[in-house]
Amino acid sequence: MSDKLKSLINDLGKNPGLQQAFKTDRDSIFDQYQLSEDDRELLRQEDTEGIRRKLGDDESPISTNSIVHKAE
Amino acid sequence: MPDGRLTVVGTGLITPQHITQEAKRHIELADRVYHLVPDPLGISFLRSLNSNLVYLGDCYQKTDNRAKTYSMMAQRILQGVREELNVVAVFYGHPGVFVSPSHQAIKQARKEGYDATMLPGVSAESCLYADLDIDPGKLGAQNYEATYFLCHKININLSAPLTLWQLGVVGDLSFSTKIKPSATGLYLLKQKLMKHYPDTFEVILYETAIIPAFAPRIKRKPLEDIQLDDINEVTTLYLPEYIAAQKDDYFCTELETKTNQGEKSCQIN
Repeated sequence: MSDKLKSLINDLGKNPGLQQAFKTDRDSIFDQYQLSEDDRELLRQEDTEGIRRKLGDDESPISTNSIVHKAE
Repeated sequence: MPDGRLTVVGTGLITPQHITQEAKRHIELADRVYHLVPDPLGISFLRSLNSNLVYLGDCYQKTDNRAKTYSMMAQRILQGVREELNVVAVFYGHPGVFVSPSHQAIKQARKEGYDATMLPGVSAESCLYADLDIDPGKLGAQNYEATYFLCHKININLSAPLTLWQLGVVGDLSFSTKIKPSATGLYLLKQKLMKHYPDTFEVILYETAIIPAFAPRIKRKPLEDIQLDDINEVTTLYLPEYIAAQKDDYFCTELETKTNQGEKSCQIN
């Protein structure tokens, strides 16, 4: 679990100003949250699956809203 | 009416941003919270609201058949209701959209005389309208699960957008818990669509962003060029309207004729 990465993502969800800064000047935000190079790269690439793995999402085989109806 | 109660709520696609105040309050007040929220941030948020969490995701490991998995989830939720608890079941997105166990649990709870309610949540469809800047009130909307669309004779309205969900499992008739697209399913779906739309018709492959501040995936390409590599388990296929709807002169004239004098005349373009 990467606490700094988690903290940034949590804050992004609550703070529209931070969201805007994330879009325009990511590196400053990364510095502010003291992210590791690995975490920075995940965010630069917007690697959703990588982030989920990093945050410990290894228990759900169907990882998103894929609760599927059978075509009957 | 027995004391047990069931409320089914959704977290939206990004938790906690998308969760409603109403859903949040129900989670806080529940005796027990069953959930199928796949992301660790979402689970942390739920835990901050209520420590009595039961994860339903382990049902996937108990059988490789999705129908059985969903039935197992519904039964587990009902177990809490039958213990006469105030139960909340939390699902990702909208709890009633492409979610089978939520509907099963509510139906069975009501059948057994319990109070059971579903609250709306932010669905992938809501996100699609926002991200693609589409108003379904303008031209209408057609939504189908991709395999259902493939396997049924659907009268496609070419004057309205067509959205096909769960492209990631199109043609997968195994109903297994291992989600995978089928090459045959995708091939046949394209064949079916190309009977109605030009091969070069530009479509959109869409995926909702599930991390705050990330961009949604919006990939435009000709219908004929869609490949398995373009698709993952959450990809949606969006086809814009192809032809303009024809004006219905008869009803438009009737409307004008029967409208009270002084009212604006029919202005349908």
